[in-house]
Amino acid sequence: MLVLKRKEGQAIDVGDDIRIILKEIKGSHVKVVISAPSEVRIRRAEVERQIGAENIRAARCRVEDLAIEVSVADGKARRQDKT
Amino acid sequence: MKIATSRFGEIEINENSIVTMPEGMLGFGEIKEYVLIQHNEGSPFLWYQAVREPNLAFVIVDPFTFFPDYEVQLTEEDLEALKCEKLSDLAVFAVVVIPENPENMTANLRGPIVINTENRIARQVVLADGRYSPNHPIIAALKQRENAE
Repeated sequence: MLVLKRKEGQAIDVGDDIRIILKEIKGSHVKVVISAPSEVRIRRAEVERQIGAENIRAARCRVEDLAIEVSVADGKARRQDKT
Repeated sequence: MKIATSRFGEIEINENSIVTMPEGMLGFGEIKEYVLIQHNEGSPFLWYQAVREPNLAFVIVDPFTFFPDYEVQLTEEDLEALKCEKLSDLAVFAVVVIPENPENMTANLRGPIVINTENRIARQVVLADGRYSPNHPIIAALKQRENAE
């Protein structure tokens, strides 16, 4: 791990083709511009963690949990009449 | 081929229907092969069952049946990972969480599963769009839409 101190407007180059620019710093927010080849996957780490956590909750579902009367007609989901 | 599942017992699946996720689901990166199982006839829900992991299955849903205005914006990198040649080959599903009261079930609209139906490569993508949350209430959305109609 490397820790760097940078100022607003300065950049960090990673390898030959990734550049990270600290475009704007306002209070606790930093606007970052990243230029990288299209095959490099750039992700918001906390969103990904959140989705992983939802997946873990989702994986606990049992068949009987899905006891809800919803059907699809013409591409639209509908609750079934409880009559 | 036959596969073992904890929810449905031993089931027969067509090998050609296996969906491969090179990166797996988030949090389940090691598990790469899944099949889709229809929940009940006429139901919007399906099960996304791991082929080699009997206990692992997710409830998924076609998000557009609940959220007709839902938009999925894929990156170049997503399309490359899916080896996608035509956007019309792609199918989108949202993972569902069902709490104790199923009326409060939620769909993950932020991290949909995108399947290339042509080569059956899939990826759980992370959308940049902050309008969508990983736990969007879906029955409330349905009621809202029904009331509006």
